[in-house]
Amino acid sequence: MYLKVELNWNVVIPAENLDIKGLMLQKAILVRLLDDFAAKKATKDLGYLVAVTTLNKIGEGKVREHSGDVLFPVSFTCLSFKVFRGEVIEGVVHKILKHGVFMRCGPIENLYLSNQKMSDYQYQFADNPCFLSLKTGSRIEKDVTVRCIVIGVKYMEAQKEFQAVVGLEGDYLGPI
Amino acid sequence: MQNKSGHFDAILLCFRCRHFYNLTRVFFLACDAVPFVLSLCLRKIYSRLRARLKLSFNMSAAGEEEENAADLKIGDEFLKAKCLMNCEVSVILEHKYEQLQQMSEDPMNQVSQVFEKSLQYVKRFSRYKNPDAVRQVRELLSSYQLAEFELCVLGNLCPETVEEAIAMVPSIKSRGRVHDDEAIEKLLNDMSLIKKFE
Repeated sequence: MYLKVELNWNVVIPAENLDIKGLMLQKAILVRLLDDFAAKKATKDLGYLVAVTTLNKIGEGKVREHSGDVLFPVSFTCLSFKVFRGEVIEGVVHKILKHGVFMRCGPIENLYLSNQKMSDYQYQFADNPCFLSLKTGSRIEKDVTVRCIVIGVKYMEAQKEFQAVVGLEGDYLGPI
Repeated sequence: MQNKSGHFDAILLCFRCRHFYNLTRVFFLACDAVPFVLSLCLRKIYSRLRARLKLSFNMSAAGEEEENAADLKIGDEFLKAKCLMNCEVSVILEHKYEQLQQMSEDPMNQVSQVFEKSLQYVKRFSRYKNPDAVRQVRELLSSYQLAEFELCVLGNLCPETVEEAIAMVPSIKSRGRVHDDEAIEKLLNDMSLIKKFE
C-alpha cells in the first residue's frame, strides 16, 4: 500500500553552497533534500521512501558553530510503500525454488511464498519449473502475477530492506 | 601483683570471650543473613527475567494481535494517514519521471532504485490509466464510508463480485458497519462502469 506522509527533516547545507541569491539557496536545499531522501531508502515505520511530492516549508536556518554549515528545518510530503499483515497484495514471481517462490511487489524484492502455504500446488520439475494445481489447472511460473495475503513482515535494519512471508490460504487468492 | 595480673587476665579472657561470643553471634547472624540476601537477589533476578520473558512473549503476541489489516488493525497513524491507490501513484510518478526527462537525457540514472521499481510496479498494476478516471474512482469510493486503507485495497484489486470484495477486505462487513450486499454491489458496478468508459 502506498502512503502519503508528511515529514519534517533537517537539511544541512555546507558553507560553500550558501549564496547571496535566494533562489540558488533554495535549489541547494532541495537538491540536498532529494539526495538525503534517496540515501535514506527506507525506515521501519514508514516503509520504503519512494518520492518527494511537495516541499511545504523551509524554516529559518541555524548556523552550526564549528563547521559553519547551516541547518534548515524542512517540511515536505512524500510517498512511501509499506505492506501490512493481513493485506491482500499482488506480486510478480521472479524466482522458483523447490520449496517455494519469490515474488516482487513494488520496491519489495523478497516476498516469499512457501509451498507449505499453497497446499493445492505441486512443484513440477521441468525446463522452466513451476507450481501446478491439479484441481484447477492453474500454474505459478516466472513472471506470473499472484494475488496473496501477507502473513508476516520483517525489516532488516542493516540492508534497509523489507521481507515478507505471504500465503494463498483464503478465497480468491492465487495466480491471475 | 600476681593476683592482680591474674585478675586482669581473667577480665581479658572474659572480655575476649564476650568478644568471641559477639563475633560468633555476628558470624551466625551473617550465616543466617547470607542465604536470605542471596535468595532475595535470586528472587529479584528471577522475577526480572520472568518479566522480560513475559514482555517479549507479550510483544510477539501483541504484535500478532495488533497489526492485522484484515480486521483493520494497523497502527493508528496509518489508519489516519492518506493511502494512495496504485493508479494514483502511477499518475504522480509518471509525471515526476517526465519532469526528470525534460531536465536530463538519462532520467533512469537520476532516480533511486526504489523509485524505479515502484514505477514499474504501478505501471503494471494500475487499473485505471486515465487521470480523470482515477479522480472519479477516488470520488466514488470516498462517498462510501470506508477507511482509507479499505478504499485503496478495493481500488487496487477491483474485485468483481461481492464475495470477492469481502474476501479481499473482510473489515467492510464486520463490526456493524452499514454496508449491506446491495451497497457493495452498487459500488463495484460503478467502478467497472468507470473502467469501461475511461
